[in-house]
This record gives sequence, C-alpha cells and structure tokens, in this order.
Amino acid sequence: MDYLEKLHDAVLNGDPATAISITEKALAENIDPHVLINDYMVRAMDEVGRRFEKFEYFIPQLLMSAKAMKGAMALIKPLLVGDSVQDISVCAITGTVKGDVHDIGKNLLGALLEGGGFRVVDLGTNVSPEQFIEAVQKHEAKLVCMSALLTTTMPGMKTTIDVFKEAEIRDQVIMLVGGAPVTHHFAEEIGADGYRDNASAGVVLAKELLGIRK
Amino acid sequence: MHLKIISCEVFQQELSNCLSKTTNEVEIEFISKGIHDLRQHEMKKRIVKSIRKNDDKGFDAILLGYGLCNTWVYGLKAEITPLVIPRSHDCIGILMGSHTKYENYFHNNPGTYFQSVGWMENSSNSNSIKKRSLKKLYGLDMTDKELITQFGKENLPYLKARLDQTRNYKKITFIDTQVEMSKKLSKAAQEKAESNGWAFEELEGNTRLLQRLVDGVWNKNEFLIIKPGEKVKQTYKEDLIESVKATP
Repeated sequence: MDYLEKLHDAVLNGDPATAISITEKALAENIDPHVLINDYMVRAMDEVGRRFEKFEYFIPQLLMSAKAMKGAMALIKPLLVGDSVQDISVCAITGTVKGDVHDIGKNLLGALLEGGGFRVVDLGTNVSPEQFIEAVQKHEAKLVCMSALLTTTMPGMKTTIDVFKEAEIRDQVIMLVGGAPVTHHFAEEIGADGYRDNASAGVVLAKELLGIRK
Repeated sequence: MHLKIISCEVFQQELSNCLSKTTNEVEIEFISKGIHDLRQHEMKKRIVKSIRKNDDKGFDAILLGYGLCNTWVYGLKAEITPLVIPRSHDCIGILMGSHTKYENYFHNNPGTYFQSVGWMENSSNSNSIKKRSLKKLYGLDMTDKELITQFGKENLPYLKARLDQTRNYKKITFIDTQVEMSKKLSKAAQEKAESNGWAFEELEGNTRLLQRLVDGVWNKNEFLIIKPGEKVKQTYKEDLIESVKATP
C-alpha cells in the first residue's frame, strides 16, 4: 500500500493523470474508497488549502489539485451510491449573489469544500434568495456559502439572509459570506454566521461551526 | 475656495473640463488607475500618502476623485484638512452623474463590463504595479505559455476557463462623457463586445457630480464630508458611507 502516498502527492501537486491511475489500481485491489478519500485526498487538499492561504500556492495550482481530486472521485463516487457515509456527508450550497457574475473565489471555495469532504451543490452566479432556499430544501443542505465581489452586490447577502428568516429556515443552516469587499463587521451586521477572507479558512470555519472534526 | 483634488486618472479629461468652469482655485493631482489592482490596503496607503502630503498646506478641503473602489475608503481619517468624497460605488456611478442611476442600471444589467475613455486610456499598468498586483499574487497573470510549461498543454483549456474573470460577462456599456477620443474608443469598445459575442450599449455620461465636487456644492446625499478627527464608516444603506469620530 506504499504506492497510495502517491495519490496524496498527485492531488497535492495537481497531477490528475497520476491521481486517476493510482485510484484505478487501488480500487482494482479492493482498497476501501473511504481510505483513499480520507487518508490521502482530503489530507492533500488540506495542505493545498494551507499553502494557498499562505500564498505559497497560486490559484492555477489549487485548480489543478482540485482537478486531480475530482478525477479520482469520479472513479470512486459510483461505488459510494447508497453508502451510508456518502449519505451523511454534509451538503453545502455555494453561489454568487444576485446581480454578481464573478465566480473565481466561489469556485475555489467549492473545490476546497469538496476536498474537505462536503457534498457541494453550486448554484453558479447571479443567484436569487429564492434559488438559495429552493436548493437548501431540495438537498437538505446544512451550509450556505454566499459570495459577492462588488460593493454594489454585497447587499444581496443581507437580502438572502432576510428571506431565509422570513421563510423560517434561517436556524436550519449555517450561512457564511465571502468576497473581496466583505468584512467581519459586515458579516455580523447582516446576521451571517461567519466570514473568512480566503477559501481555505472558510472551509475550516464551516467545519468548526458544523461541529465536524478535521 | 482653495481646494486640492486627489483623483484617479480615469477622470483626467472630465475633471480638466470641470476645472475650466469653476470659480474655485483647485490644485490637482492624479494617481495611476493601476493602484486598483493592488491589495486594498496598498491602494489606501498610496492615496493617504498624497492626502498627508497636502494636509498642512492650508487648503479649505481635500477632494477625492474616487468611489468606494475595492472598499479602500473604509477607515480613511481626516487629520488636519476636511476631506470630501462623492458617495458612489466606483467611477462609473460618478461618470453617470448619479449613484442611484448607476445602481438601477447595474441591477438591471448583471454581467456588464463598464468602460469610459479614462478607463480605456489607462488600462495598462506599470511594471511596479504589475509586480505587486493581486493578479500576480494569485497567479491570475500567467500567460498561456507559462500555464502550458507548468501544467501541460492538455490542462490549458481547463485552467483558462476558470481563470478568466470576465467569463460570465454579457455586455459592454460605454459611458460617453463627450471628451476627446470618445467616438474612437466607443467604437473600440463596441468591437471588443462584438468579438466577445457580448451586447453593447452606449450611455450618455454626466459630469455634474465632478463639477459639484470642484465647485464646492457638496450636498449631503451626494457627498460625504469627513471633518478632522473623523473617519469613514460603511453604512450598508443607500448613503453607502458615513463619517464617525475616529479613535486616536
């Protein structure tokens, strides 16, 4: 099983071809898919996030790591259908709020959430409060991550939280906010559960607030 | 009044026209638009440097030719001379002449890339800015050649699709303030829109906010005056910013 460390390294170094070939080999040898995910890939993505947070990794490197993990997960996922562990993985909804079409940061968060073991449903950009609510209900999500890159669209985060309150489902979800103009103070003011200034720290906060051990 | 204006260079032509019509004595300083591409605190540091240099020179006020622009303005303190800033998200609201008009247009046209003569004329950055830019910090400035060398040709389409910050844009709106080069650059903006497969619209600009700024007509709903000892605070309301007492 020594070769499995290469799976960790392939995700860390953003090498999709190696990540896929090692996963194929491991699955052919009946190695537990959960071991591949939790002991190798999640650990690698944690390190990717740490490096990104410290500006040791650029966005292209993070994207390549995400691609490597996604490639390996595509082989693993069919084996997890009906699996109890998969079923209980926490669903996170990500989206850029209404009026805003920027998504680089939001997509990085999505990649790191997936890397951290979340089931991510991405609603894309220009997402209305009603679309967030619909997705939470449909996927029984526990986490909502909203992004905005502009001061013009930031108020959409407050509107979304207010609509969740009106629909009486605000208490059922953790709502996090992020994006260039967003601050801790803004997050507090609009009633969000938290804010971080980078995707990696956002994942750590989400786990903390949801009581998920690292 | 004896005023100093420290402004983004995107307003160069519009402000020159406004200054030719004002009765105030206004000293002007332009700062490179490129500082918008730096980290927020670095942008702030650069503008504050110019403010402090002029703080004790006896101006009646120092005017700022900026909007919230990347939120640089939050926490900005007035020390000796009062500061005056238009209430606008960015230069586009200022060039439209109305923050409300901009907000309405913005929300009715998601995914719009705004352009003006000043924007287009100052679109390339100096090497010093490039080196310190957010693009550089995050690796968003990598060329195709660099991406291929580091990640392989097969990964280029995947990376390019995710690194393009304008990939969800659908429209270019050119704000025409009737300055030199307006026609030529509007045409260039239209051609860019066409080559991207985006819609194009030309909107008539309005320099009334810039004129009022240099004329000293600072009505409360359009301008924020920060008195010495006060600082700028975000409001999350239509007025965008307010001034509060700064803690020493």
